Amino acid sequence: MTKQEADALMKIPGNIKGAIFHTHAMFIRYKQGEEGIKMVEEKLKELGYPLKFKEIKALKWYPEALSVLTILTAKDIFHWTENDIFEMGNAAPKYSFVVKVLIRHFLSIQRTFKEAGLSWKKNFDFGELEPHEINEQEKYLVLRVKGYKFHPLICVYHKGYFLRFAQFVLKGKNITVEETKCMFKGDPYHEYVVRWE
Amino acid sequence: MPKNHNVKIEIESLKKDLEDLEIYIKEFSNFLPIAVCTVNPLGVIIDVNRRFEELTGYQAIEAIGESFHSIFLEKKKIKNIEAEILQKPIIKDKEATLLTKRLEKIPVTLSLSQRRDFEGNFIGYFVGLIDITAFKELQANLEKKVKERTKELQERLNELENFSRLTVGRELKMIELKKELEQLKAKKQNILSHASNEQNKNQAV
Repeated sequence: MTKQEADALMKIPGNIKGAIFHTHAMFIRYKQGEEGIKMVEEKLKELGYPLKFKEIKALKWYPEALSVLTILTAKDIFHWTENDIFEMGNAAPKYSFVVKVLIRHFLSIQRTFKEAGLSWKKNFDFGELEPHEINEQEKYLVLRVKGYKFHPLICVYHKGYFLRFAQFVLKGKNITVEETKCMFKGDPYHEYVVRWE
Repeated sequence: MPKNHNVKIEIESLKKDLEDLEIYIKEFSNFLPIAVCTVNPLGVIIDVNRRFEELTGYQAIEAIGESFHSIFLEKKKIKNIEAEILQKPIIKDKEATLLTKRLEKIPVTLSLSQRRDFEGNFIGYFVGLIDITAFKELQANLEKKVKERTKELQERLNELENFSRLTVGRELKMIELKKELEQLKAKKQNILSHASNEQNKNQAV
């Protein structure tokens, strides 16, 4: 990640809740220890976007670009693969205080699907998560993310993130997620299909 | 405009309160010497405290998202307890065996408490796990000691019984011998009197 790339990324508008940074910190700490946290903070400072995870407030708004930059920086420093980013997204709801508070809405796959948009709105001040279709007989659901275009790697992160919500409410089933449409491939939105057995 | 400004201040203040509440919950939860986890209605772990991580060996990231029953040896028993908590608000002191990440078996007692939302919908339950290894060891030692003591007492009792049998046997033998002696004495007396009679007869002849 170069300074120019970071600057270009940071120009994209849109804010998210600080709680998301906490989930990043937890995952980095899990994978790389406390030293990993320091390394990411150092690199962000070097890029001109200093960040102290401990100072982030869960309910305050911060630029999503900074969150994306954090993920990309961690990937660069630790030579993470796409699988690691998927794992990072998948682990994020496990740590999120907001998710724990919202968990009352996630009692079944139907309810989780219906409330998915609400969850997005609580964490993002831009874009939209549209619960597009659910078919419990055919065992799949379709989610669409609109107005969100930061970096293709975040599509992988979101795949992991959406899968976790399904894993919370579809116990012990073989659950998969696939991105079927992507704004980086010319589609008007990102589309994720979650399937289960 | 001032109204909007007040609403904004109110929202900021509520956010601050919520953040303080989060910190308080985290601190309190991590202070607890009891392992605690939160489970959703499908039996999936959605939160754990520090003691839970220490007891099970699983970090939060590893435990959250797993089925609650999967960390126990007696899976069927746990599933039954999970079914029971749907009916009862609180379940106390159920014994089970925890399977740690290192596959160690730790005896624990489980206490469960239902969670319900404002509308009364069941939204899962809290579980408290208490490590009863020390208690079980104490119990086992006590049982061992009781067994040993019982064995000792039984041995003493056997010795006493043997002794008693021996003493009683001797007594009986002595009575028997006495009887025999009496009989022999009588026999001897008979023989002597018979001999004396014979002698008297011969003298008379």
